[in-house]
Amino acid sequence: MKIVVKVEITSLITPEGKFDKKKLERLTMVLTNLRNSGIEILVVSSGAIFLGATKLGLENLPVERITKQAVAAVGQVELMKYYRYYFDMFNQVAAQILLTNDVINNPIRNRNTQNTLINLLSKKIIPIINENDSVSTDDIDLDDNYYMVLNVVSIVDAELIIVKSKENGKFLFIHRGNKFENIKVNENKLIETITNIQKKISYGKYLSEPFPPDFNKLFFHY
Amino acid sequence: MDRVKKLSQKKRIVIKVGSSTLSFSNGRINLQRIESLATVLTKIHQDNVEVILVTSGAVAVGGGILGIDKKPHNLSEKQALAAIGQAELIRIYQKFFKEYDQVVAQVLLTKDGILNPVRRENACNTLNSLLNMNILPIINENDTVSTRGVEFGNNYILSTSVAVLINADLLIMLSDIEGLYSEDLKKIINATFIPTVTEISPGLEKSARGSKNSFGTGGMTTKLDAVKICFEAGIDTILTNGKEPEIIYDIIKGKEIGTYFISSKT
Repeated sequence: MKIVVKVEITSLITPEGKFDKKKLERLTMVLTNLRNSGIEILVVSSGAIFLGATKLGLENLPVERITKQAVAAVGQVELMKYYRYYFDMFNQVAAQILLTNDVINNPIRNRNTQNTLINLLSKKIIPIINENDSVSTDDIDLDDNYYMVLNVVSIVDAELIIVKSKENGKFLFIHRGNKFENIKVNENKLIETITNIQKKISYGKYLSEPFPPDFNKLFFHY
Repeated sequence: MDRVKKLSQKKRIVIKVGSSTLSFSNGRINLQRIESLATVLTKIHQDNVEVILVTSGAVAVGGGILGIDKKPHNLSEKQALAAIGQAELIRIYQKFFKEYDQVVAQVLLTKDGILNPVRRENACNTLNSLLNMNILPIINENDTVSTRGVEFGNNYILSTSVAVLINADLLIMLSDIEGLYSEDLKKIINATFIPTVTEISPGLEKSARGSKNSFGTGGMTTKLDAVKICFEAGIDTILTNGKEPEIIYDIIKGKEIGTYFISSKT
């Protein structure tokens, strides 16, 4: 079972708007536990611009595209530093993968990316994927990594998308079930819920539904 | 005396937790399980009941760190994995207990350390001082130096030795089975659950024999051997499934969970 976990930096901040390390620590613990249970995990995480702005002491998030890309270059390093630090705490190895959305249309790059990701997963490593903001020509803000999630789902042929909810400890599930089922679960029920979905998939229940779902559908339901 | 009253009087409890509770079926460590366990034990410990934890899991953690999927077959490999994993296992426990400001201590015992009177007294004094300081001792067999023939063999026997050593009131064994059944569950579907045992009769032992869990080392025979030692020492034992550590709250409140082995010498 392969699962793409979408992490938005907004789900990892304190009420005062600061980066909440404690929340990231919990998230890495929960993800490591999923990985330990035998599930293959890929993380698509935003946060480079936010952490870059924090690092540089900017009062507001940058608006101009060039500034955003520069700030993201600073913040991506920060983002990976934190991920690595907390995954290390639970003996989980993480890897950084920066992609641009054109990877999906270029067959050679698509294949290369697929090989790398599958290889990492086979070594029980959790890839942390983000848009390569510094070279990307897409509008960074607009899609908030949703296209990236869909690209990763189709590149590795994942079965499920999980979105870290802003509600503390909750996750949102998106799978190819009838009517595009969304389930919100507490982190303690994660493994149980995934096991149930896995059963349904292996019984062929969702075969007729397209996966990954299209962007509008995903966005709408979220 | 009824179960509720009996259990409300238990003030020093040894909790034995096995690999089947602490890890997934693939052998990897289950962090959320350890976290729940730490939460529950801290609450009980801070509520005037002394708690001593006897834990397995070092080999599983060691295997995870090295990325070894198979269970080690020879003793030296097992000992090497335990040496790597024990340090990590304690660090993980410490991390979760620290969330509640509960201080823990690691105590690694060997069988000869309990049989030798001088070392036995030392171990006993250490554990008692720790408990007096409100510290929660986490005990495991010192796998790295325990060799075949002088080892406890499994943590069921270790946990009973600890319970006897420190004069505990109760031993709770968390396993992957709900408790004791009249017959081997894997063979006979209609086996009936036995909620209370006051005597280990030859018939009971015979029916328990042969039921062996897939992971972990203890079959029902091992568990009954452990219970017998407690019986002799006047210590009650409860055997139950550890998949939801929160049930320990209910157990000490006297709810009918697991099989309650009541020693006549209590």
